[in-house]
Amino acid sequence: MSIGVSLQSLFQGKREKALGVSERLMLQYSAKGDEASLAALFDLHSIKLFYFLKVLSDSTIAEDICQRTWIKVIEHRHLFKSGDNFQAWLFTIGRRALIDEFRKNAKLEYSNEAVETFLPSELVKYVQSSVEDDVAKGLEKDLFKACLEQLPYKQKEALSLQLEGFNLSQIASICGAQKETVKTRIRYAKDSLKTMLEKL
Amino acid sequence: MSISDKELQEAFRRSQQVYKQNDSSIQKANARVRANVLKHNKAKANGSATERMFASVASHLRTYFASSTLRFTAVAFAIVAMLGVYNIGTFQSRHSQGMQTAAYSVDIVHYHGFEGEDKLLANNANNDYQARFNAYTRQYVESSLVAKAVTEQPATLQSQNGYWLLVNCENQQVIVSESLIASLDINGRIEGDINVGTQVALAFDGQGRILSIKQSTKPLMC
Repeated sequence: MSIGVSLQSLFQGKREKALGVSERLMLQYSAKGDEASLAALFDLHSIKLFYFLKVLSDSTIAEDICQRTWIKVIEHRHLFKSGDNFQAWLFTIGRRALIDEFRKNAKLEYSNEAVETFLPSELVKYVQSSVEDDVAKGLEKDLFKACLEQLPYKQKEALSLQLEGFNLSQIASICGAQKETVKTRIRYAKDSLKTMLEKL
Repeated sequence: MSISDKELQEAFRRSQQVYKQNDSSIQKANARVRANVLKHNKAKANGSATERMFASVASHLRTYFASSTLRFTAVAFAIVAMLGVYNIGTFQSRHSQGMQTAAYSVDIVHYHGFEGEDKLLANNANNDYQARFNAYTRQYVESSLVAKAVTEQPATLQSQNGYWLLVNCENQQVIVSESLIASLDINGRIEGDINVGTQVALAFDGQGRILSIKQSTKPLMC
């Protein structure tokens, strides 16, 4: 075997090794357009995307945007390249679709940067009322989600992405912000969230 | 005592799990979106086939209507068309080269989950998650009870993050969905203490469905 061939196989091996399950499925889908790969990707990522969109909006908008995001995955499947992170790509599409929706309907001020809009005691009251509503609807108490939803938009966006497992560079790229800005948003978000959870 | 970052992370995962399992409206919405997305994919695949068919018919029509009076136009048109075909050909060969590489490196992922799981969830009006889960578990077990294991494959468990990723000697990857693992477990079809790194034997029926996963007694020889 020549040096060129062995180097090529070494790099090929490295490249293949670095590919995660979702990336392999997406490349498979990108090449064939097969339903099985798309269904598998959907089953692996849909609830996480749904949760992320629900924290930033409401159930109706989250369902609509989730569907639009997956349709964009189908339409733009050729744009996914080997080496891309599938979940980061999916969340970037989802986040952009959500912002487009906000711009179109002016339903929410998505650029909310306020750090201390409300006092922690006021936020806790909102959380308690939101949890009581959920319990009245027969849903299980979820204090964490209720607290997370009370945070300013950009803070909960950055924190949700970090808790989902994305690193700072990926979050900065998904949100189109500087790493330092993202770091600050996450720090404020964690402080507020911890304060709320400790008061409950 | 202050809440640590690790505790926040755990609370986030628990919250996602609660959201997934206890809110039936979310499961129904997710099932609706899944059905619509797969329908769109099918329509797009059919659409591409139709486009190709129209292009072929148009090409035949052009040949048919070509006459001596239009020779000059036909020659000019042919040159333009040839340039177009050359460009498309070059683009396609470049494009398909990329596609082939992608297909070569990834055509080894097999996903196993419940067939029709989403339809059952969407149609069932019962709000109890366990009842709905049992409904599709029963359906799977009924279909798999009559089936016999026809092949057995050794593999190693490599990841457990919401699903099981099993890798065999040919580096083929088998992903088993969270619901299917739970169902196999309930029905005693997962034997032994299986953790990341454990070597297992996968039993498949004639249709390629997983019937059981057990700890392998023999070491994986690759």
